Amino acid sequence: MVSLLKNSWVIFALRIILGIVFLYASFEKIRNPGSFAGNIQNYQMLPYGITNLFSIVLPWVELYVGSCLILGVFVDGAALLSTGMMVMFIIALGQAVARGLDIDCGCFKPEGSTVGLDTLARDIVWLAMSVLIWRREEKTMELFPKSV
Amino acid sequence: MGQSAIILAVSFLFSFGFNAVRNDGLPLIASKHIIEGGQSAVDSLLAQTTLLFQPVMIDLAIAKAFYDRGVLFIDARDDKEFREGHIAGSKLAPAYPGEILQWVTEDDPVVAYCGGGECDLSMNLANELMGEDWGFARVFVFDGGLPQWIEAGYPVE
Repeated sequence: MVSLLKNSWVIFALRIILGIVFLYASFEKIRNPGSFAGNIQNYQMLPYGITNLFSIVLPWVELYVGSCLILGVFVDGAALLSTGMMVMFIIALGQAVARGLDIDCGCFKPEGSTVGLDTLARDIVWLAMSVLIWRREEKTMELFPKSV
Repeated sequence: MGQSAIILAVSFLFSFGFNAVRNDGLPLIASKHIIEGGQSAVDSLLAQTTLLFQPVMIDLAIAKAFYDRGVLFIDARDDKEFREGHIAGSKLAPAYPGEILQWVTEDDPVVAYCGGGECDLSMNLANELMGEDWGFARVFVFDGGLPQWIEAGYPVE
């Protein structure tokens, strides 16, 4: 099992899967930043004033991280950012679940799934995938920087 | 770390750039639009002919004027917080549409409030009340909520 998770082709597959997740997550938010801002406000975590900044920037980070993971460009940086974002999402979801907030996740679509243990579990899986990619030993199918 | 910084920098550049040129770009700092004012604002907001498309936030002065005119106040918090103290005469957020119709009709103005500040429950409730299922015509959100009401020394129970 452990060796399977270190297999460079498995890592490559994880990169593609996680990349598609990020691309898919970014599209609807870039199209509609206003409703994403509303999603963020519902989490009641950030000061109201800066929620717009998050809803403007975050989808674009997701877009580029997803693209980098799929294309094999700056995979170290993309995996690190992915890990950071997943930790952030897990904290946000965790506190929402703990406080019993009945709000939309805002994960992919403005009105998709409600926050709960399932959305939390999903993010934990993606966090694990991010870490595996970040800590990979071999580089496979990476364009830039070129694998040695 | 360097790669992350580059990805972030590109993201910042494109996100703010795109936000600046698109028609529906957001203001960089989110702000609540709270209606403030005196008697004339109160009269026009309460007029039967006033059409609202979404809940309107009001300040303490207008909330008190509404209160004095007998507008129904609804506490959007949970029943435990409600029992610990609420604006005198206000009702706990109803669980189903029929409940609120015991007190008012869809054409009557209603004010929702909660714990103030970062509390979004009142806005969520107000949006629901003005939604298709409930069909209320004029719903207001008292943004200051219970803390501001108590601070002003207005009646609570």
